[in-house]
Amino acid sequence: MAETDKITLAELFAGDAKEHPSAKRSALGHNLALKIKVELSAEQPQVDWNSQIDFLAGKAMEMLRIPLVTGILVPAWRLYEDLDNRITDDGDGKIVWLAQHVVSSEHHPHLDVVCDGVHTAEVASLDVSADFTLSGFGLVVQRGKITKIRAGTIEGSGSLGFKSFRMEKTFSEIKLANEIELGEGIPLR
Amino acid sequence: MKDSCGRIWWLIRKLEAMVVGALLCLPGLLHAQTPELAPSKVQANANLAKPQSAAASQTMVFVPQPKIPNVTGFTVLEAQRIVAGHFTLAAADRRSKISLQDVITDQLPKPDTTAKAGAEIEIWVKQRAPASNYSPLPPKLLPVPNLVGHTRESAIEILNAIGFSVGKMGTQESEEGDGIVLSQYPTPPATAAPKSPVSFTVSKQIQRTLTVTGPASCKPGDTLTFVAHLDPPFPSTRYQFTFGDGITSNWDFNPARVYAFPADGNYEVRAFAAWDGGKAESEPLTVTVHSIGYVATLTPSPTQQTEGKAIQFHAELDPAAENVHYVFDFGDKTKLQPSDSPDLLHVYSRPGSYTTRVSISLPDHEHKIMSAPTSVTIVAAEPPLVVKTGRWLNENKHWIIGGVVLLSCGFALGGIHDTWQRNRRKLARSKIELRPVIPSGKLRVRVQGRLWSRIESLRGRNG
Repeated sequence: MAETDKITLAELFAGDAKEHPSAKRSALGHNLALKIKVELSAEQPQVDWNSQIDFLAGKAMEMLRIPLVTGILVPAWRLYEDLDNRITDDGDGKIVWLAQHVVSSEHHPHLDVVCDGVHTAEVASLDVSADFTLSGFGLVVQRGKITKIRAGTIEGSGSLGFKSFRMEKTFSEIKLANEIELGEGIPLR
Repeated sequence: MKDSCGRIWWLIRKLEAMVVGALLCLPGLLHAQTPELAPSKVQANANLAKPQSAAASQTMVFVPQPKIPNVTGFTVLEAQRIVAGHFTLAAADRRSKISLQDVITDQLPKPDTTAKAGAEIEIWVKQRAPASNYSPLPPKLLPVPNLVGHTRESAIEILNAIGFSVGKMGTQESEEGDGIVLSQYPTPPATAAPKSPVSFTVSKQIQRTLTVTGPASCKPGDTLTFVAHLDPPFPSTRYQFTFGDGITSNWDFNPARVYAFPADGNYEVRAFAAWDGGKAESEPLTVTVHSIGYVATLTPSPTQQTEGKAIQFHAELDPAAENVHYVFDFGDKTKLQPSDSPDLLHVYSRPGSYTTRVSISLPDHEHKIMSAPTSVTIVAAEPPLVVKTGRWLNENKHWIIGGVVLLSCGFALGGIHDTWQRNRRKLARSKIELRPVIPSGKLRVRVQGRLWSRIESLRGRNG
């Protein structure tokens, strides 16, 4: 479970975060690829995009690789200024237990079309939003940096939209490691 | 008083002027005065009318009027010399430009009429002809001679003698003898300028051929019929036959003759024809008269052959005889081919239809049996492949040219398409990257109360 801290929205939208069945991920990517192909065919008609569906599916899933912990939760906590004010610099560090809260995120990833190094177009702008309810999470703060996360329970839901494609997904209970190392730590501010 | 005298003097002068004016209107009077009232062109007569005195300043003299000379047919330069000092020349058409070499074709007043000296003679001119043919006088026209009925040579002599040139000479088939003038142009009584050509057509006598047909062999005493054929026929033609045994028939309009040879032998029958203005003689027809009725046949195989390939000829005598001698005539103007064999090969070099015969001589050499004529046909050889190819190319050149044009267009279009495709592939080979971009999202934390519930020191927990 060493990788559980690297769960992204791609796995959450594709299926069970624990199992990451490739078939399901491929199905989501394929659906998005079909839409992206239409858009790309208009932008770059000289390319046979029909033969590039798998490639496009991979790119679609890459757009959803937004890390849950480091991409959504931590940046959201850092927005909460009160934490910074309450936690004074302490050499030994402190552990801050968080009350039950909800983190909402909204992202609009897209694909930049770069032809011979020149940006020529921007396609496949996705509408990705998710709500996560967290309970029992604790943050280890040392010298003003969040160095570890003591994980509690987390569950949530999300929606994914692209043109006529619309997907609502309940993430149910998301399994994270009990303690997630953040390396050198992430500054609170 | 002085004013009254002046008026009287003015009236006298007026009256005098009126009398002088009336006299001037009379013919045969020349009026001259000093000083001249108008520019005069009659210088030649100036001394005829000198004033006698200064007091009598005006004098009238009666002089005869000169005659207008003939200037028609002369050049303007010559005409000016003729009329010099007496008359002046003026173009009737004032707008035309006159050259000194132009020939005067008409004049007014006409010659030998009288006119005042210095009068203008109006002239009509003909523009000067090219220098080489220039003649001050119009050419005299010559009557065209009648050449019809003369021989060609006589007609040429006549034309040369009169001064005409010989124009085109044509020929026309005619019953006339050769070289008789049948028609001419121009025809009499036309006139023409000297050296102008006179064309004429001479006769070419129709060539007639006479042939004689009849049996080639018989027994003595057999009655044979020989027929003469004149081609083309001519009405009232008379015929005569000689039978080779010293007998000659009379001239008769009947082209057929019946004759019986009394004894064995080879005889040559000939026919003669005579008509108005012509006669003809046939080639001889050989008739073999023998107590045994021999029949010679010649069989070519095949009867149709390609040029350059051989035909086999087989001669046969019925009833058969030994030690006979054959002479083949292949009908292609090659030499007669003698042979002791009844079979012979012959190659024709040109396509066409040929009439062949064989004559078979019996050992006694007294009898020569001629076969009936047999025809063979020679067709043109298949041309070589190169010639056939060239002919085919020539016959189909429009299609070939069209095809080449189409192919060229196809190649050109293909080239354009390939270029487009290359450009497209080049474009397709361009490195196209799709870079996923995840901009920072909108994040929000919702919590009831404060986010943190409690804070613990790690020192205490670690201790």
